[in-house]
Amino acid sequence: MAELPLEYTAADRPVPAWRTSLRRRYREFKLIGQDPILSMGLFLVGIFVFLFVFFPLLRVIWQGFFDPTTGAFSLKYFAQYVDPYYQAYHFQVLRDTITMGVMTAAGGTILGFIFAYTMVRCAVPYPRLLHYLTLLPTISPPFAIAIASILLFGRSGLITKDLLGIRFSPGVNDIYGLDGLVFVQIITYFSVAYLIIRGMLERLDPAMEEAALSLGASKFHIFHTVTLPLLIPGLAGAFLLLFVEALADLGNPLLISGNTSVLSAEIYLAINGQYDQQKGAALSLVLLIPTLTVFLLQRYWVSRRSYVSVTGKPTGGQLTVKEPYIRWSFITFTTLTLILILSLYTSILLGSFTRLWGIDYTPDLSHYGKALGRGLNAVLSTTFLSVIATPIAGLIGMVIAFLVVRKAFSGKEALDFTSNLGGAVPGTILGIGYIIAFIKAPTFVVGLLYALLAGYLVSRTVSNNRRRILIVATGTLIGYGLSRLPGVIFIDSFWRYLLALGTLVLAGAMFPFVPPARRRGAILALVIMAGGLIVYNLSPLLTEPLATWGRAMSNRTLSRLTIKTASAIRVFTQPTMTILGYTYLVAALFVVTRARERARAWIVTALLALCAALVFQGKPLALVGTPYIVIAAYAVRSTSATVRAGIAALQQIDPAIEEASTSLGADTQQTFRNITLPLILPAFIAGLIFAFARHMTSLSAIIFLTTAEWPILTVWILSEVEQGGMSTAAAYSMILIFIVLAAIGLMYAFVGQAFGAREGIDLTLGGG
Amino acid sequence: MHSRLRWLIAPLLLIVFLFTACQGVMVTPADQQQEEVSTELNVLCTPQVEWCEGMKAEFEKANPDITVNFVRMSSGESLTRLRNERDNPQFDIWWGGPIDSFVAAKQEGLLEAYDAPNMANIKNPDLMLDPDHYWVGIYVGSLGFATNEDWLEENPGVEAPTSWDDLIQPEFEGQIMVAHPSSSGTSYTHLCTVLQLMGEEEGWEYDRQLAQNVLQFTKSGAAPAKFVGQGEAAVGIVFSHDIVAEQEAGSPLVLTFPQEGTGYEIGGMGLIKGAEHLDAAKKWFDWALEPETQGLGPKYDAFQAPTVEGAEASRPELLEVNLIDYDFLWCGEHKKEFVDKFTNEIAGAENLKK
Repeated sequence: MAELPLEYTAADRPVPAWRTSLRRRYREFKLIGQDPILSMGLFLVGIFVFLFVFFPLLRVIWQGFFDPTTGAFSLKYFAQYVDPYYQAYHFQVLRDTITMGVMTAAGGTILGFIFAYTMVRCAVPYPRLLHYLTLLPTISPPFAIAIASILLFGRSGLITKDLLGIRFSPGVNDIYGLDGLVFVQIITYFSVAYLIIRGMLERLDPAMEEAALSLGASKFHIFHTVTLPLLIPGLAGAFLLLFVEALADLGNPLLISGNTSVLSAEIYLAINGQYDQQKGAALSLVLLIPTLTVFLLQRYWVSRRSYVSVTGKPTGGQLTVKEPYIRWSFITFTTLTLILILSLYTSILLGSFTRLWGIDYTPDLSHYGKALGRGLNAVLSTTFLSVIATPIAGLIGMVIAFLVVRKAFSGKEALDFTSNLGGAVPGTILGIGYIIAFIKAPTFVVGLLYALLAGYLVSRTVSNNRRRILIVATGTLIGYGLSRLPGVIFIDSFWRYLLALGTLVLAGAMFPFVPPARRRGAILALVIMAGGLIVYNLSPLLTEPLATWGRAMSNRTLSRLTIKTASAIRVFTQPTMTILGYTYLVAALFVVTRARERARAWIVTALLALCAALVFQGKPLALVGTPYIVIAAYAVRSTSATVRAGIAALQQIDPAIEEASTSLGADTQQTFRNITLPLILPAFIAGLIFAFARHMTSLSAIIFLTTAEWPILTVWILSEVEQGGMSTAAAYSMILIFIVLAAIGLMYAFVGQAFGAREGIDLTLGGG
Repeated sequence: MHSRLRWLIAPLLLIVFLFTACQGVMVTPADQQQEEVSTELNVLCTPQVEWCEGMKAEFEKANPDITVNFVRMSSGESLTRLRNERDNPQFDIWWGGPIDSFVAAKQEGLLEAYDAPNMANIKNPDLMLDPDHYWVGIYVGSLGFATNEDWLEENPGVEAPTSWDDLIQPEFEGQIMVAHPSSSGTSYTHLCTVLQLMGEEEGWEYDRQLAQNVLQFTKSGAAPAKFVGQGEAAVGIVFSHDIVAEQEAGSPLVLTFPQEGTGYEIGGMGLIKGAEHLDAAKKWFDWALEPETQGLGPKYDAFQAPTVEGAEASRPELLEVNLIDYDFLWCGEHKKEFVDKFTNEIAGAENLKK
């Protein structure tokens, strides 16, 4: 985008419309480009979203039409939808999927509305407590409710068998099947609807209803002619969102759907059972169509129809329902539902302490022994990777939100849309996309991104077009040559020492060409870049003895903890070379712009050589099997939440405050640091909490990406249900819930005021 | 022109510098890396997780320098993983799971041949050892029926099934659990046993009728024993050693075998082609074929019979039943065809319990 040829035409010649528009776009980017931090942010975020959302999705769609072994175009699996032999089954799955989605969405929206109405309008006792209880399903693993439902209402469930004495002979309906699945999905996702509708209800201006009331309308009449129409966008939004969430969920269908099958589970089985990437990809597209339609509907139709304006002005006090019979029936219903939810969670708690559920109810700690024994690696790995992904998701979300709300440039809408898409598409599809896209080096994409970044770098630093091309070509060629050397004549670590040495030599050579005032930053940046490479080489000196020491320990818990620490350190010190290369390429801009004009050409060339060497080394971006792909998948799944948190917060800050700061002489960074950041911090923290909770509980995108070294807790829970039994799975679930709660507590302890910011944000979490 | 020449000199100098610098290490050959001893081993483990965990601990005890990471996956999932990661293998060794999956993996070039000295210990090399040494058998187990005792008490007049025909009787409607053959080797062994025993045509018809009695097709093969033990279903079709393990854990289960003959599995083991820690994987391979190692099973609730001389079966009675002449090659070759047919005609049939 930045290297568009920019020919200045004579003023009297008519300029074609497309060219003016292109030029306008170029100027928009130029404007952002004047702020190095912002442009770096835009570039890194753009790369992230492109690499980890757009590209994998494109690969999935592509894969659906091509035979993976021969590469030939084939409509095999789409044709099955019209082939009578397969048709019946495929349509049945599709029908069940849509039925499940619609029923979950309808049930969840109604339940969410009742809860919201109770909390806002019915002057319920202990509102805060009830509010948090309602949010419980959003922080627990996606299949926790399914496990709990089997424990309570299964064929040997505590309630069904032991309390009610139901025996499941043929014909008796049990929890397995579509009905059970819908029940579980409603409980799992209704709190999302509750949050949305509650937010809407609270912002509803009571003046309208008061007006109707003073004109003599009856309560019921007001409700269905005034209140309900005002709420329609919220209800519709909740309905559509729930539909998407229910379709995307994988954990609950795998556990409780009996012999009914839904698309997400079919995709999972196609990939993991039948090893048929094309089938999985084709089914993904079938699932993507309704999901995407609904997502677009929700985004562009419903949200534009909102009658509620966020003015920031306080509306008059909330109306409350006076009639006791209405009030108490709402309160009773809500309380009973909460009791049901609580008992579901209690059953997980009890189940995790019971020897053999259904047979022997003696208290027993052995399940925790198992979970913290063989599962300790999974617990540690998941927590570690989730923690790492949290600030990444937070930062990306903030940058996108800032760009979207405060800046004007083309592609803004696309950036916002794609980042939201990452959280909205069914995780199974994203997971397949990651496997297809990153199992081998995606050479084309690696090259494309490199070309974009390199082009941007030269366009910002060198003036003449021919020189630009020459510089990029020379630098890239040298770098590419360097990248092929390790393994042929060098050992890897020596190769990195060489590059580090080269960088230091460059720093020395640059010294006279940088004005003294800017010298420190430029030299320091180069030294840090060299340092990164040296640390990469030196870190085994720390991690290997640490791991050896850990292996020798007799206490197995401590031993595992130590070994994990060693591999966690490696995640930081030994990143994938390609990612390092891209980062250095962005940092290079910072270095080069500090040097004097006449020396820039060779500095850029040298830096390009360094970065190209890093980017193209080995198998660039063959990320499957590394922890980075898990981190990326986590961040992608939660970025939509942090973006929305950021947008909501920024929209409530009047730009005038920032403008005042700018007109007083502060630059964008100062304004952001001193004005904007403090104002949006609470929302930022809330976004981080939700991001972390979502990381810990996500299953569907991760299930294809776990490795032996980095096992993921949710995947283990799923396998423990079938391997170690419900109680062990319950113990794992409790540990997971505990970690999430502890993290929330910790964050709140640090930022107490974040409470207030939380409720206004419609964050959609839970499974996925 | 002059200025362009000047700035071209700099990169040229850089190249000269780098290439002179590398003269010194040109002679440092790659074999220095080869001698590195692996400190990690990534095991793809298909048997029950307790056994995987136990073997990890035992191996680490015997080889204190090596950390074992393992993931438990059903055999279908494992094969998928290996295929996906063909160009970038994450695992070093695959331990356990029916050998038809290993036959398929060998055909697809996913395994690495290895002439382990301990292969001489194998009891029945014709059956338990790949002629080209790509895989080796590490345990044997037979298919059986697990029936919930409490359920039998509550339903007087119903006996635990002792024949394949018993399973399709109406009293077991919606009470039978078996895994889905696409993800589970156990279930595929069951499917192929039925097809061999009854012939293809009759076998499929039988499966159609059986499916009407099935409550749920689980993902993992041993899961039905768990669910039946908990009382979620009455009868599970599972490997007998998994049933014994559940009995040991306290589940009220009755173990029976079909009198017409039952299928059996041989669990395999093979090195992954392109494994990063091949040296450590070979250590595991040798170690797993030692009689002492194979005798460790019962310690971790694994009651499969061993495959090497010198190790005694903990439950010999599990194999002293009417076993059919199971054709592993035939089953391996037709796996995709049968699983596809099963998915479309049996698991997806309209007549299933909803």
